[in-house]
This record gives sequence, structure tokens and C-alpha cells, in this order.
Amino acid sequence: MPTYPPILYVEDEENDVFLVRMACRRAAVPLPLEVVVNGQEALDYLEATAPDVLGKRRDLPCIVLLDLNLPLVHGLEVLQWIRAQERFRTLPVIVFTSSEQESDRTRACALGASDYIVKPSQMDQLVKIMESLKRTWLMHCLAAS
Amino acid sequence: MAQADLEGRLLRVNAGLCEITGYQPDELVGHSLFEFTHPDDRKGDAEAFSRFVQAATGTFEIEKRYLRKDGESVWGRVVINLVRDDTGRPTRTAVVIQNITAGKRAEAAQRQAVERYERQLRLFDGVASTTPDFVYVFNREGRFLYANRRLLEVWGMSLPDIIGKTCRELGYEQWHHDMHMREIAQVIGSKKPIRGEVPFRAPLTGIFGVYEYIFTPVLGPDGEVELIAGTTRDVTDRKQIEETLRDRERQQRLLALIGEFSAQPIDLAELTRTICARVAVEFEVSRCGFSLVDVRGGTVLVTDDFHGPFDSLAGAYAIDSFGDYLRAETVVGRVVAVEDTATDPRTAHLASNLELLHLRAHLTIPLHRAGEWVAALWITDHAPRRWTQGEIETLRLIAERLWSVTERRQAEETLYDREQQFSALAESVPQLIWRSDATGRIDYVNDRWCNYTGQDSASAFNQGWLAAVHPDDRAQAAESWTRAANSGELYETEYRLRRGIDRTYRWFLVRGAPLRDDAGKITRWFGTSTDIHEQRLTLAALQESQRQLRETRDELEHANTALEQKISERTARLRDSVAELEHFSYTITHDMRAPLRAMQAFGQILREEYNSRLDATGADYLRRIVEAASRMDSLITDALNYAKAVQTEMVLSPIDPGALLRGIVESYPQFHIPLASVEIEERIPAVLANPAGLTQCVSNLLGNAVKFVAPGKIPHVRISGEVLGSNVRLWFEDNGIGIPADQRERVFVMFQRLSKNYEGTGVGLALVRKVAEKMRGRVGIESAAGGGSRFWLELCRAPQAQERA
Repeated sequence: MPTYPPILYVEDEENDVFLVRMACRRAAVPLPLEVVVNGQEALDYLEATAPDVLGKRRDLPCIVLLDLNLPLVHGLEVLQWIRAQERFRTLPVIVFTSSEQESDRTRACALGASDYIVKPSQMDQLVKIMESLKRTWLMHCLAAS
Repeated sequence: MAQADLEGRLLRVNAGLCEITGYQPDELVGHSLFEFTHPDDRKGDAEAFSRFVQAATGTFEIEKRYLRKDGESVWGRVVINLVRDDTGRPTRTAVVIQNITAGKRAEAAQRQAVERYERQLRLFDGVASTTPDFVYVFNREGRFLYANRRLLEVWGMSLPDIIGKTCRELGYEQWHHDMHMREIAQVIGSKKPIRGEVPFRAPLTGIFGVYEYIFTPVLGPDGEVELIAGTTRDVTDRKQIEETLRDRERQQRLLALIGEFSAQPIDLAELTRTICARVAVEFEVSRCGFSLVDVRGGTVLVTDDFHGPFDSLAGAYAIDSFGDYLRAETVVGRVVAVEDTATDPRTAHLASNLELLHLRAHLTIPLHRAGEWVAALWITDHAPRRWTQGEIETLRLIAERLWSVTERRQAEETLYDREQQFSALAESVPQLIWRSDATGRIDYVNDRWCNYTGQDSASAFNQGWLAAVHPDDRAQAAESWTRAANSGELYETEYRLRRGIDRTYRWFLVRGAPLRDDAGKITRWFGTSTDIHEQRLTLAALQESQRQLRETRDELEHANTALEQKISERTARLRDSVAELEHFSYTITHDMRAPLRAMQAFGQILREEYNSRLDATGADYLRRIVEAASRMDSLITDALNYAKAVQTEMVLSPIDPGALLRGIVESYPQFHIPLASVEIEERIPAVLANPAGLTQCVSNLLGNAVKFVAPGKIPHVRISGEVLGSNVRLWFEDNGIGIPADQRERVFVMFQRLSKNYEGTGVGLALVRKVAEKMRGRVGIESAAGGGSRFWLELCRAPQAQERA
């Protein structure tokens, strides 16, 4: 069984994590879901993916699913940090938030978010989003190969 | 007194006779009168007495000498009358003897003196006739007692002709006579000699000369002036030389005088008068005048004359009134010299008139300019006199000089007249007027200045005016005036002047302007000082009120600033609150939706995966949970939309509401038949609105209109437009359930729902009102006739041009 790179899901809301895992299963997303619960952990994880990191080295994610309203470090700051790293310049970062604020969407796009998805309240809609996510990953892999 | 018989024997004697004769009565009685008579007189006396007695009439009078007992002789005046008896026969004589010895002695002495005098006179005449001078003697009455041969020759008379005669009686003129009579009286009074000089023409011989004479008193034995002796010398030749010299000196004196006076600031009339007076003194005449002649006007103006003790001839005369001779000669510029008006054939016929004016001699020097007679200098005297060529020359020179001064002075006086006019003007205006010389020294102030300041004009002169200036303003006033006077710029300043009457100070506006001559040099300054005290006070009051106003305004501004600051602080605080609220609402809606989403999602999963294991009740509960969550989600969405509307800045542009509405209706099936029917009026005027905002509003109103309809009834909505002034009102009429009148305002309040029978969050109309307001519009409701609702949305009408576009 081939080893797929993980989706790094940055989310403090347990229910959402649960629902996203279920949606991924229903959408048959093959990628493992690595979950961190705040912005700082996201940064730590990403830093730990570096080649020269000794000890507990993390797998480089193929997609980052990023909530905005996060404890410790806000999602937009995480996004800004990622885009500031040379090796993450092309890493797909999808903002996944319950905020429908136009300002949030504008700022996220300005900081280099690959997509901005408002969390749906219906399960079937969430499954569709995960299917779309799988397609994004496939397209990204094709492009990389 | 005594009585004697007819032979002369004394019968009775009194004390008086005894005293005269020096005998006792008994030594006299019985003796003849003639015994006591001086032997020289005795014979004649006795014979005369005897004749008197025999004649037996009248009174016998005789002066004779008696021999006194002591041998002295005594002069007596004897008066003898006959005493008669009852028959008239003479019986004896009454003798009155008066002692006249003293009188007799004086008589003898005088006789001796006359004899002595006549002897001396003969001697004197012999001597006097050898001199070329005139020698003569007057008695105290001014009658000639003697004249020597030389004088008699000049007179053409002999000595007996002239003795006892006065000058007048010898043919002298009256004035000449009068003059000598005065002089004789003076010599008698003073007992001192007197000198004189006189021209004289002898009436009989016509011999003329100028004579110098001296009258000397001759004192008698009593020390009084007895006679006046005179000697006269003919000085005609010497006088001629002297006169020439005198003429030159006089000429120089007079010309120098004119030069001196003309330089002085005295007016022309006075100058003329002074010069004429001096001419009269120098020429020894009784009158002198300078006349200005207007030939064309035919007048001669004598402004003033020196007239000595006589009446002035000042006045305006017709040229003709001076007589033809005068006019004829003066008009052609000839000097008129009349030595005696009484004898001169030109004036003889006027003599009596001229005598009234004490005018016996006159000399008139006419002056011509450009061929025209312009003036005349004339002198006259009360007595005839000779006019010398030297005098005429001198007078001509003086006349010339006087005329040139007159001409210059007239020019100056024209200027002076202008000054007088200025002065008159200056006195008539309400301002204080002043004048200064070129250097700024005040030399004139008008009466008003004096009245106001209480200064007399002389005290204001030079720097004196400064005393009237307020001490605080003085330095500035002096300094600015000096500066203006130096620079020649217009002078304008303000200072306070003291009012003399109450010693208060009032503000004056002071202006000065320089007067320049043709060369541009400043000759004078004229200035005014105008009382601006009231204006100044008014101005001050105005300034004070302006200042107060400014203060008030400043206070207001300050208060405003404070208020603005307070407002901005509050605004800032409000903004903070709003921001907090926004954040709060954001957080609420955001964070609330997470669990809600979980409820909905898990409810859905539960229904999908565990529905078969739930009974009907469990399934119902699950449905209620999901629906509640769903409603909660709607509420939150609406609240978020509302919050978004509040925050969003709406940009307005012209929009065609009809087109927008038709677009919306077409997009939503619930507005289509058979679910509903929507009727949109054609040609609704364009409005100013925000597309998203207007869409939100009309969607809500349209949604409400089709929603709140009685079950089984097909909603019908009619949308129309109405122009109200500059606004357009969009009407939404429905056939719905309607809203009670008392509930109509509530429908626009957030979260207010009138009916639980219809879905809704109670946010929709509140949102509509909010968005309408943000588009500068309003929203309202009326009851419809058919029981439905009539909502309206009023917006600004779009400008016509843009509406057409």
C-alpha cells in the first residue's frame, strides 16, 4: 500500500474534525489526515518537516486545511508564515472557516490562500467539499510529476 | 489942603500940607503961599494966581515946586477954587496940593534917557549903516523903531515911513508878520535871542532873498525887555549851496527810510503815511500825500496823507475836481509847482477855496507807467513857498521809489487778501485750523482753536500748541509733526487735545498738508484738527463689543472644541464599542454556528445511519432538533446580514427599479404563476440606490408579500412607482393577511415577529429599513383597501439625464 502525504488539518473544533474525517471517508479521500489544534502546533509541525530536522521528523503535507479562528496563532498568521517559507511556496493552503466575512476572504486571498471554503452545515455538502479536495490533490500530483 | 485969601495968604492949613512943606501950622498961617514956592517957579505962579482971582471963574491948576523947611524942593499939583459969599462975590480960595514929587522925578529921568537914547541911536545908525546886514529895532508891540539904510533900500522906504509900523503895515504877508509877532512875544517872554530864516520878497522893490535873522532882547533898567533889536543877513547864495547839500542828504535819508520800511511787515497804507510824514518834516511842509490814480476810472485815491494840524485830504476824488491846470499838466507827466496859489494865475481863481484847505503852495510830482498816469506824490504848505529844483528832484526820486514799493506791496497784499480770505474761511469752519511756516512752527490758529483750548493764539505759536496736547500723546504728536514737516509728507495722526473750559481731553484727527511754491519748495503748512471724540468712543465701544464678541466666540469655539473633542472621544468610544460589538457579534455568530453545524450534521448522520433503529417518537425528536438548529442557523445568517448591512458603505448610482424587479421575479420560481402573481408597473422612474442594497430590500418586501397570505390563497403583488417631489416611492401592494394598524411600527423592529404561523426570523423588515436608510431612503406601511398590506420604499429620484441614460 503506497504511503500518501498527509492533509494537515489545523482545527480546534473537535466536532468539525470528526465531521471532516467522516466526510473524507465518505468521499474516499486516500490521504491521511494529520490534525493540529492551534496555530502554533501548525507552525511546529511544518517546521518539523524540514530535511535537517533530527528526531521526530514530520511528513510533509500535500494540502493544508486551515481554520482561521485558532488559539495561540491566528490562521491568517499561519498562512502568512507558510507563504514566507521558500519550500512551502506552492503548498496548497485551503482556508476552511465558518466566517462568511468578506474581509476575511479578501485578506486570505491576499496572503496567498489557494482557496476559501465556508464550512457547510449540511453533511452532504461537506462530503462534496472533500471530494473536491481529493481532485485538487490529484491535480497537484499530476502537475508535480 | 488949605484956605487962603485972595492975595494968597494962608488962613488955615491941614496936617497934609504941613507934612508936604515940613512946617508947623503956625509957621504957615498968615504967610503967603508963594513964600514957600521954589524961587524958579515963584514969579510965574504969582502972576497966574492973580489972573485967576481977577477972572473969578473956574479952577486954577498948576504944577510947581515948593521949598520945604529943610531946603528940599517938593513937586506939587495945586488945584485952587474960589470960595464965594452969598452974593457970589469971591471971598477967599480953597487950595488942594498933591505931592507929585515921585512922578516928576521919573518923568525927568525918562526924558534924560530918551535924550541919551537918541544920541546913542544916532551913533548906532551911523555904525549900522556901514554893514551889509539889515539892522532894525522893534518896540514891544512889534512896531519898527529903527531900520538901517540897507534895509530901507530893500524896502524902498525912508526911515520916517517905517517908524511905528508893523511888518504887515509894511506889506509883509500875513504869515510872515504873524511869525515875527510870535517870535517877538517869545523874546519878550524868554528874554533870550531867537534865530530864524525866511525867504522874503520885498513888496515894493521885488527884491528876493533868503534871510537869516536874529532878534535880541534889549533890557530896560527894570530888567524887562524894552526893545527888540534885529539883524538880518542875506544868505541866498549860501542857502543855495546848503540847499543842494541838504537836498542830497534829505534824498538819501528818505530813500534809506523807504528801503528800511518797505522791508518791514507794515501795511502799505501805513508805510505810505510814514514816508509822507517824513517827507513833510524833511521838506517842512504842512501836508504830504501819495495818491493812486486811475485815469481810466477818472479817480484819484488818496488813501491817507500827512496833514499836520490840518484836516486830512484822504478820500477818493474825481480827477477833474483838481482843476484843469493840474490835470492838464499831470496827465502829460509835468511837475506842477505852485508857489502861491493866491497869486499864481493858474490857481488864483481857486484861491479862496484853497485857503480853506490851508493850501497856499503845492508841488505835485505825477508818475507815469507805460504812458499812463498812475500815481502822484504831492506836498502842500499853508504858506507860499518856493520850490527848488533840488526838492523837485528829490521828490521825484521818492515818488518813483514809493511807487515800486506800492506795486510790490499791492502784489503782496493781494496775497494777504487771500490770506484774509483763508482766515475768514478758517474762522467759519467747525474744525480747529492751524498754519505753520515751512519748518513746522505754528504761526496761525483760528478762533476755534483758541475757544476750544483756552489758549490765546500767541501761546499756540511755535511749539506752544503742544501744551494743549494730552501729556501721554505729546511726545508722539511732536515727533510725528516734526517728521512730517521734515519729510513733506501728508500729515495725519490722532491725539487728545485739552478742552480749556473743563480741562477734559477729547480725541482729534489731525491732518496737515504742505503748500509748495512753484519750485516745489514747501512754504507753509495748513492743517485741521477735527473732533472725533464721539466717533472714537463709538469705535472703542464697537471694538470693545467686538472684543467681547470675539471672546464669546472664542469661548464658544473653545466650548465647541471641547464639545467636538468630547464628541470625538465619545465617537471613538462608540466606535470602540461598535467594534467590540461587531467583534462580539462576529464571534457569536461564528462560534455559535460551529456547534449548530455540528448539531445539524450529526442530526443528519443520525437520521441517515440510525433511522431504522429509532421509533416514531425518536424520529420526531430528531426532526425537531434538526429544525431548531436549522432555524437557529437562519437567525444567525440574517443577523449577520443585518450586521453586514450596517457596516457596509453603500455607493449610490441610478437604477431602474422596474428592470431590477423583473430580474428578481424571473430568477425565483416562488414568484411565478401558479405559486404567485407579480405585477410590475411600466416606466417606474429611476432611483439613486445601491444595487445589492436595493436587491436586498425588494427581495425581502417581495418575499414577505407572497409569504404572508392566507392558506389556499394565491399571492398577488402589485408594484408601482410614484414621484413625490425629488423622491420616488415604490409601492408593494399585496392581498395578504395585512398588519393591524397598532402593530405597523413593530414590524420594522429587529426580531419582532407578528405571527408564529409563518417562517421568519423577524430580521427581514429591520434589515430593509436599515438598508433603505443607508441608501438615504425610507420605508413604511399602509393598509390596503382589500385588507392586504401596502409597503412602500421611498428613494431619491435619479437625475433626469442619467435616468434617460
